[in-house]
Amino acid sequence: MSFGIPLSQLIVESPKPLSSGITGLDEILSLGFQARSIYEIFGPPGIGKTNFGVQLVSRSLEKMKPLETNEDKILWIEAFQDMPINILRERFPKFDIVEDNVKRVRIMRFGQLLYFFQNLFKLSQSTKYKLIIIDGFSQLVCDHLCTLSKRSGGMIDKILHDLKCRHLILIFTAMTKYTHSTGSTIILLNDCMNTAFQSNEFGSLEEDYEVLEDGSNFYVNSNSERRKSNVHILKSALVANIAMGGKDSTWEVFLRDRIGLFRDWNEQADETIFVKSKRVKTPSSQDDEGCTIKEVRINKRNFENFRIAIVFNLHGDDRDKDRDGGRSKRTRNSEDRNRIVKFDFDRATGQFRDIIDQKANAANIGSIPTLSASSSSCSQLFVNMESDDNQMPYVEGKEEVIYDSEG
Amino acid sequence: MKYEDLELITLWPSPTRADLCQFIKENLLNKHVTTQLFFIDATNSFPLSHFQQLVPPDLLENVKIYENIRINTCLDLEELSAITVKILQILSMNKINAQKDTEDAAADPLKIILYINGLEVMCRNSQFKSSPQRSHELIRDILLKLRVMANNARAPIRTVLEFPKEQLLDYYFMKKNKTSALSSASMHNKRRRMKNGDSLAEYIWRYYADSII
Repeated sequence: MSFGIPLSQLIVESPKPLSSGITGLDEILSLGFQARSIYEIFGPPGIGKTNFGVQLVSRSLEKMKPLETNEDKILWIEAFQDMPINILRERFPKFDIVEDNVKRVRIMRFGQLLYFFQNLFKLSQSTKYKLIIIDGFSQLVCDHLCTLSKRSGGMIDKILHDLKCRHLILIFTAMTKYTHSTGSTIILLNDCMNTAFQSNEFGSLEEDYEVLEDGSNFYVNSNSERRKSNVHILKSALVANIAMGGKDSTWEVFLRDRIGLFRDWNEQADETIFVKSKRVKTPSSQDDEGCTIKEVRINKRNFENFRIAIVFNLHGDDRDKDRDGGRSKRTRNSEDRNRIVKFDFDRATGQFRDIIDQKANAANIGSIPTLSASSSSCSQLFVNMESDDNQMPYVEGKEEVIYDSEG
Repeated sequence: MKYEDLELITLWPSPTRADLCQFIKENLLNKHVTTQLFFIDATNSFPLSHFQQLVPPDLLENVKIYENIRINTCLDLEELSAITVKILQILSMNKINAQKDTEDAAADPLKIILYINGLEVMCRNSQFKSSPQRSHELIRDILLKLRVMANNARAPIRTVLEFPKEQLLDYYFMKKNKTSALSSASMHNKRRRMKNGDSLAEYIWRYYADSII
């Protein structure tokens, strides 16, 4: 007489982890996004959270064989933003595989989502989704909390954090039941919020911090002498919202990992030369066409493409220690324990990928007209001008204007 | 920490994956004694990849270990109560069999380690489903059953409860003998207790647990 699943059976039955397409991230996540798990991905607007979700859907679809009937489907839950189905249409010219395997549903209330997952669990024997992506989960939660606060006229604001924790436990329980019964993976795509609240000290919130009266609901340090420590940081919108407090660990236990996507401001790229030209009429020009002005910009950083993912250590594990078999000294600094991965976002394809070796890229840089070559290839420059404009990243560094011989 | 060193109910605040894997390996590797580990969890927290690295599943001598670890998902106290009853039935059956068969009785009986993670989540979910009183009754009932059975030498079972370290700060620092940290942590905990009361981990430590790792 025995019960429970033997570990050997669990290993055999577990599907392979879903690779993100970023080698460093996959390594930290133990080869990718694991089955029977919930992950949170958060980041500022425009960082590419939705694109990341689409990339996971694409990689999941690539594994499927087109002619076979797949029992395991993919579910995309959209809150306030439509799923960018066009990207999938471009990536999969035979769109049938997408239509057959990717289901979409729009949910705009927290209660609806809870009810949806409770019913999904009941139907889990007949319909299995191996990957569920919820785009804008934090918006649903924040909307729900604001509604609760408004309805009560601010009467429950003191217990709003407790309410948030309880409601998140409720919905994560429903999600966990589903993931465990079907072996699926749930990815939450969340916003991030700026907050000064970073203390884990229980009970100190009301004493040391006050809410700004500009309606932003951010806690700031009320003691002017301690202004220096009043640093605002970006956190997940599930943590930093109108219901901030010190009990977030009660619902964070459900998350396998929390991944923050940010721009990489520190990365130093190899210098890339962008050449832009335009024709202007000057008093000294002898023909009707005027002269050509070439602007040569030496770009040091390309903020648009560089990304970092911070994999937060939610459960107090020391991954380095684990990897070394417990020999290394345990670090106490949470920043040390968080893992950072650098990668690129390819704006043209909307995909995240490993950083391509800059030296290998030198060949591509060579194809951009240089100053010496461009003086005799105006037509080529005109052709490239528009595309250069579009791809011109934030420019910081040298900028010079050169009048060529035609002027 | 070996089975013989474990008390009836032990608390373990936030073990690292490596420590947990090492604990499981140490206790299940003994070829002469059969030890089963029931890993009961409200989340998917078993460190599978770490354990596979530490105990390669493809080695013949490790097959038994993988068979003797049983994973259960449990999201409320009613489910945990049902699981506890089943485990106690297993122990009772073994006890009866040992009494019937003299040869078996001479041998070491089956040892069980019950590892529970996420008790607070189970408790909160039970409060949602029924009431705080009912959930309190259930938790008392489960822990008392486990203590009673663990006290019987012929039905060996040891229970390890995992809790977040933050819930046991006083006791954690006391254990680590950090007096300066203890005073500041105690002050914060006192303030928190006045506001919110004891955490579940503190309640269990005070009334049911024997030791803390």
